[in-house]
Amino acid sequence: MWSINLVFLLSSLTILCGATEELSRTEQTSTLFSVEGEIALPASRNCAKWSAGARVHLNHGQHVGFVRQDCTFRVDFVPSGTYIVQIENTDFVFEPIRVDITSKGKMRARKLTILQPNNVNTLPYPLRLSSRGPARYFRKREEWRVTDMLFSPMVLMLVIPLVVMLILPKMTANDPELKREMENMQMPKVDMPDVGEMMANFFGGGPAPTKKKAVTGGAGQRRK
Amino acid sequence: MRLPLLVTITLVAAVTAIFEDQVGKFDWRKPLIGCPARVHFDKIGSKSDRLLISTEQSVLASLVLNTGNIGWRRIMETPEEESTSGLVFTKDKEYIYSISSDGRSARVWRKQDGVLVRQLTISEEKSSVQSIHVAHGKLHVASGKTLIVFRLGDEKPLETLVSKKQRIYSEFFEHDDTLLHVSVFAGETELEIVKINDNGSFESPKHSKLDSFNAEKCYHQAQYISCIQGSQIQIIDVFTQKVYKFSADFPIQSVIGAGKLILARGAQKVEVLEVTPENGVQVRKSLDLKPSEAVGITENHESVIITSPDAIRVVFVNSNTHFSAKRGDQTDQKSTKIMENSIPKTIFARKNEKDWEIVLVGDDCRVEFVTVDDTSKFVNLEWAREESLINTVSVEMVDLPLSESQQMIEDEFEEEGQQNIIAAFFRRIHSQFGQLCRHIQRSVEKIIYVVTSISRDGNGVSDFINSVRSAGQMSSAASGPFERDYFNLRKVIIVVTSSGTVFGIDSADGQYLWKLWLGETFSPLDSQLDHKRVPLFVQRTTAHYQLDGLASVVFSNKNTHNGIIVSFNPMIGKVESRNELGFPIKRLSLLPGHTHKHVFPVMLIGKNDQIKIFPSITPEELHGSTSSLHLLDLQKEGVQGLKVDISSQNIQPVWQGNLGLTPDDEIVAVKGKSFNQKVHSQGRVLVTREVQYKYVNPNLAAIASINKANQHLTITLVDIVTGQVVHSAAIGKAAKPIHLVHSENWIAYSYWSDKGRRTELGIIELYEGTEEQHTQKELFDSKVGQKLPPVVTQQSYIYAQGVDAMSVSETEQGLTTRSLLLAHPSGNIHEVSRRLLDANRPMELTQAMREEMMIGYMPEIAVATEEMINYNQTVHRVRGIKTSPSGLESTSLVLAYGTDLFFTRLVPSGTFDILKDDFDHVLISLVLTGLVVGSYVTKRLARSNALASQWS
Repeated sequence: MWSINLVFLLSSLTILCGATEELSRTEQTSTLFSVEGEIALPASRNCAKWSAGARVHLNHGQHVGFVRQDCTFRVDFVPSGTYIVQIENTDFVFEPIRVDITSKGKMRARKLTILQPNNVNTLPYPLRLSSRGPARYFRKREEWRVTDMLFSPMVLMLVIPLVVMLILPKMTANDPELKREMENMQMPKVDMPDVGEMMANFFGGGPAPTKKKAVTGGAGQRRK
Repeated sequence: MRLPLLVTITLVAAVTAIFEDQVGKFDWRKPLIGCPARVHFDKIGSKSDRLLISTEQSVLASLVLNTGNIGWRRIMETPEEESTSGLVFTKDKEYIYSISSDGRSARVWRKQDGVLVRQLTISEEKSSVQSIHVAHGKLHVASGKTLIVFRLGDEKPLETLVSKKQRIYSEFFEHDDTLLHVSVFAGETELEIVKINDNGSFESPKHSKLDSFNAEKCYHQAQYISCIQGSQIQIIDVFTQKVYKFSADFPIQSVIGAGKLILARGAQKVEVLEVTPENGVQVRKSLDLKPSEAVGITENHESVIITSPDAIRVVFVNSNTHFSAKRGDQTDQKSTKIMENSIPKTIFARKNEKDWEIVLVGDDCRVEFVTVDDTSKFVNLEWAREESLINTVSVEMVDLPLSESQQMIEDEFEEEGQQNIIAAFFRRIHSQFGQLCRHIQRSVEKIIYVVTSISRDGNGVSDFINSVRSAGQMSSAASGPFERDYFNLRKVIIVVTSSGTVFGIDSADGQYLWKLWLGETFSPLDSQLDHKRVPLFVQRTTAHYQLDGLASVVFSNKNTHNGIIVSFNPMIGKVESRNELGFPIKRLSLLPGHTHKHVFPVMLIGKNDQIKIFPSITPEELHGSTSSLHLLDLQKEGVQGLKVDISSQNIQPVWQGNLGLTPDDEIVAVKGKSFNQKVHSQGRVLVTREVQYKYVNPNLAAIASINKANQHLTITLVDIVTGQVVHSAAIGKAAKPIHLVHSENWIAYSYWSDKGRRTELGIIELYEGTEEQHTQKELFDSKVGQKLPPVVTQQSYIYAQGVDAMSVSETEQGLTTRSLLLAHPSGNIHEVSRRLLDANRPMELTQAMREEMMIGYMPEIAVATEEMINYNQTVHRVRGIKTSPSGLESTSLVLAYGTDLFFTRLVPSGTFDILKDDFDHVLISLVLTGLVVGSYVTKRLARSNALASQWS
């Protein structure tokens, strides 16, 4: 099992390779450490697949590590100092973490507040980075919706004249009083059908007998 | 107060992102792996064949053998010293074991998908002498002084042996279940042979004395190490510690081998040797060959592969037979495409049941996979990859030539005024008739395309609409690459690499149009700031339709170090001239004036101030443009300004100084302005309705230097002509990487702030003030003194990401708000609008400012994934981003190059000059017809209604 206990390179190597004298001597002067951590993905994602495209950056690529298939990572040979740990991948957005390594190899992880670098908001070490959410790269296309379609200016242009021309006369036909009122109201709009007819004649291109126009005009007058 | 601000920012941001269905519509990416150093044939599972490759650029990749596509690729740390040996790796059935981070750790990868399984620590010492071997369920690694054994599946070492001295050679040998580690220590010529037992323990070393040892001249295989010494070859059997010697009658250039066979190659001859304990070294076969031919050996068959530029020969060692197959690729013969490849350098070959599978790697890093069998006459080219693109150093985008109809229009006005009115009339009729013919031809092509695609795809309405839509795009893609499209969005991208190749790439889909190989003697130029440089100049664009375009690359000869200039046609890659100069090149520049053939000459200055101008320019032609050129010269101490008199060809220093820089200051970047940059507006309107005029000095250079002692970053703006320091700014506690962009009247820079532990972006803007200082606004004269120094505004912003490269968008008129492009180490390219990176963002927004849509100051420039112009198509290790204007003012073309190439169109302020690409032509035509039909119907209805009311 991979233990999440903090194991410095220093101690680990001296314990494991204690047999070799020379090695342990070099290890005592060692100033290089390892940064370890774990990545938490949303439950739906399998880490074994995702980690093929992921890397861990310390200070924007100064040190690079890879993510193992169990979502853990270890960046080796890091000298003491302060580092920003970031996860490179294309699927998720991760919050970066700041890690301080003292010259003795003591680790301290804290939340990276880029605006106020002196703010201390300690996080547990070994690091645990969880994704903030999937990375969105695209704008959403407007989906086709009935209301959008109906309220689009072009459709309104089609529908409103239709309503005015077809439905309003029908409605007024049942109510003679309203009808009269409407006709009085529409007095100044006497030219309206003329314009429509003119357009129809123009587009229809057919014979536009002026006689009929006169008849319509006459009808209108007679109704009055 | 924050809310409207956020809204504006999101509005600005929203413009940049693309829709998901636009993916791949105008962008493409070429993932690369680099120049292969080690190649292994491999099988995953039972079927899928793979090539495992480690490259000079420290990339480990698995290619699909059938297609040449990248199965997976892992980019490792860049080694400290540049090496060409690639990562050392070995494999077993399921895993790949590689040594990385300068020999300090071993990584275990899953072969199938490249997932890291384990990470093993070897030692803390860096070393480039590495070897790795997996056997008997154990992993054996040697690196530098350390020899270490791991049990597979375990991260703890089983045994470790650290020697006192550094090794210069290290290799594992396995034969009949015996595993040996053979090494040579620095300063010794003795082999140390350590036997490794089955339990991982080491036996005490044995030694074997040699006459001399040079690790670079040795080759190892099965159980032998063979080393070249002039015309002699020394072969050591590491298991018996016997040394065999063989003398050839020619100087041996290289030695390779497989199994029991050893190939000693001379310039004209190859000896195939075999070592047997009884008879010692024996010559099995002698082959003659030409110097241009490369030799390889099949790893699992006793046959030798010899490749020449036009054929591949397979020679059997056992029998006297051989066969050869022609390499002339059938498809390339048909087209007249110029594709110059170098000769293969290394050959990796393997025999399977039927044929030989051969991987050829050229000097130009072209990886070719071919198969031959003894019956076929032709070599079967399966795939080829152009991996030298990973070393891209210079990029230019060249317009395509005018289309036929555009040419006709040009023709029509060409001789205007010289001929009478009737001739002009006939010319007009002729050209318009030509246009009509062309249009008809196009339409017929389109209709045929639509009809064929309908019969192919099916007959749904949506299919029909799709095919009509794609027909519009088809016409631009299919009708030959050498014609400008309507908006001039399609260009030829010329890419020059530091491996000695030049490519012409079609910007529409990333296809190679042509390729030039600059020869074995190619070597990039050195410069003080960036090491490898191969300058590329476009000397004549394709705007002059009677004349072909002309571009030139300048490099140096590897042997003589003299400069070479090669001129070629950027459309088809045909070399027009190749000239070798008699001197090494110190610096070079394009002249602002052109010859009567519209060629802008390149001026080359040698180490001893010799001047050569290509092509030569007469003083008459020079007349009118400037007769002298001012250059900035960086020296060991300080900077000097040079004046080059072109007509008399003499250089003299005008000014000299250190610009206030101390010897501790290291100059990291110098950026001038390209002399054809356009600044659309001369001023900026302030909230007070005053105009602040821009300080647009074409002679201004920005110099960034960093002080090693006190970590101060200094940005100095200096006028090259007079040497006057216009402005100087210092930033404390700054560190590399530093990137600088200089455009119009502003300089943007990025640096790592050690104090804040973050990247910061800075911007400096220069203004002349609210009064116009120059009477003649079109011309800026450095020598005319200014009444007042320029007004400088500057601002710094926090940026949460690292920066690998920085560039600025370029549009035709310079009217569109520019955007900065920042490449992140994680592979993203972030677009930051100049509206955000602005030195004039007010601290407090007043109502008047808000009305002007100004954005208040916020310390951080946010990085959102929506603003990545390459969405999830990552581009790693970006070294540069080239931007180029297109015919549309809104659109800038972008090519980012690094480990990958990525091309896209950029619209910094949205596509304000064309219709949206989702503009619904169908809906608008439906509505129009609806209106017409509706009015006709209502006319009828009105008539019947009137009739009815008359009756009532």
